[in-house]
Amino acid sequence: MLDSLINDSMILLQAVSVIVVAALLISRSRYFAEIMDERATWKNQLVLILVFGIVSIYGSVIGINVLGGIINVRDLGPLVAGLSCGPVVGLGSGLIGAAFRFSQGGFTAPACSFVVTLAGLLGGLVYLCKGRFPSVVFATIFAVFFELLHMMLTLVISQPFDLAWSVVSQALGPMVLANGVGMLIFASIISNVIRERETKKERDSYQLELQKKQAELVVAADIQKSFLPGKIPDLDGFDIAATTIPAKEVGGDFYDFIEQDDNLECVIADVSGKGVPAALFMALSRIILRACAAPQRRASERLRCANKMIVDDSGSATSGMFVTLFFASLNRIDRSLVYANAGHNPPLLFRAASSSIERMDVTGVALGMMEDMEYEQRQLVLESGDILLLYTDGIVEAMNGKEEFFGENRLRSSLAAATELSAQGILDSILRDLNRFSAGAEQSDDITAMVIKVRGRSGSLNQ
Amino acid sequence: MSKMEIIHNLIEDIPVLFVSGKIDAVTSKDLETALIGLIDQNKKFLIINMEKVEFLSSSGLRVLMASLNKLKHRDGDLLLAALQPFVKDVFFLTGASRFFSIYPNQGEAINSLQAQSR
Repeated sequence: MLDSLINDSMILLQAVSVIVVAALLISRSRYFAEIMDERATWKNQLVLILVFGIVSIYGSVIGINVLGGIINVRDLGPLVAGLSCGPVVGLGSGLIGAAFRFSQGGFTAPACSFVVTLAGLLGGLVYLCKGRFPSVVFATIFAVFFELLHMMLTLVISQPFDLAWSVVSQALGPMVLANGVGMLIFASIISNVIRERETKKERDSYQLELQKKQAELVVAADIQKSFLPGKIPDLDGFDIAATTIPAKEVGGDFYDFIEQDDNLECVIADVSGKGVPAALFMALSRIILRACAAPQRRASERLRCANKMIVDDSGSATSGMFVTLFFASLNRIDRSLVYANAGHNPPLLFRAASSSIERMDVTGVALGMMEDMEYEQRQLVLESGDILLLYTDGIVEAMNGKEEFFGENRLRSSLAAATELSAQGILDSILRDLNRFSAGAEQSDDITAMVIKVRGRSGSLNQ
Repeated sequence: MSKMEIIHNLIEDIPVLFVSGKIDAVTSKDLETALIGLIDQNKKFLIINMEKVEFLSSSGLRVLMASLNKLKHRDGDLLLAALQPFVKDVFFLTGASRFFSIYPNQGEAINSLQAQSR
């Protein structure tokens, strides 16, 4: 008695092991993966029909003694085949199981053959209705109900009824139990694989997105860099320095120098937004401002022309893009300066004579916002020792760990403390102060600045 | 780090967005999505209550300009209410203030729209 119980248990354990191994092998196979990706071909379907067919044959021959009834798990293979791969694979493997069962003979052979075919077909129909493998709970309940149907059909089809009744009444409980548990194992493993694949897909698309983003960062930085002046021009009587420190995601800051006879035109600008769109808009703005150059257009006409071209050619009204830009034309002979400011952070002007700092205020709207805008221009004469500081909002909006801005006041103090230095010295000193202030907080925007210092008149003229 | 929240409201049939936090390069994308969503619903007038907006970058201003232009194109408007000092500076410095209807608070923005429709 004990021996046979141990023996039966061993066979049961063996059956469970075979099902687990089969489920693992099938669900990890290339063919199964292809079907999951909705790439069904006659080849992968044929392979899976054969494999699930063999699982069905195994379910017929195993013949486990459970609670006194000899039971089989023949329906399990085709059921899973239908539920996971659709009606073709379900029906195909069901037919293999049916052919084998029919060849075994016995009075329940017609009923059992019919039922195993039905298993594949019904599983496939469920797949079609759901469009995917159902949940583990659904699949298990489905298997239980299918076995109840199996028993009913056996009673209806098999003759004589009395004999069929005695077989069914003994096997009913164990069959439902065995197929239910078998489905639970199979479905759990398949669900796991499906979940893993979905997670992987999400991860892959996220990584792809990240790679794209990084490539974009590089492209934007390259565009920006290639449109900055290679060197700072020499202009008699002026000492000039400029730099730009791009943020991780570049923001389209730029500066430019344009030489026109006795004038040197100095530009600093900041394009709205970040990344590739900002970098392209920056390149466009720079070229347009150069294209609008003409000897008589010293400032207001230049910005008027540039604004018109940007609005007309870039579709900036639709995209909302704009560029704040400060334009100054320095005359080498009389040291006059004409400027116009299109919505840019007002540059600071240190006057050596009074040791005071003035702002070079906005004289018009940022370029690209609206067509037909007017820009005022202002003129002033520079004296020895005067210092112009042009900058972008990356400086005044740089933050420290306490989320405070560097601000214009700190910038003024920084400038005031460095007026004795050369242009490059002043620039370095301001950036050092800025660095000390932000103390390692991430730089979120481009930082761009230009310093123009007026030299003392040489020899014979003033000194 | 950079956080922004948008609360949609419908007051007297006018869509009002209550925005809070920082509108920077990252968060302006969410604001753009919200605004485009309303514009695609064929709304003509929108109000943004900016009482709790502490920072507006050029990316954010770009999104507002683009929406304003779209609404004006269909004879609508984008009304801004309760700008805080920093945000106000951005509008006045760049000159964008010349194109927007700016109101001291949400109530006045709504009143002005109702006066127009009467």
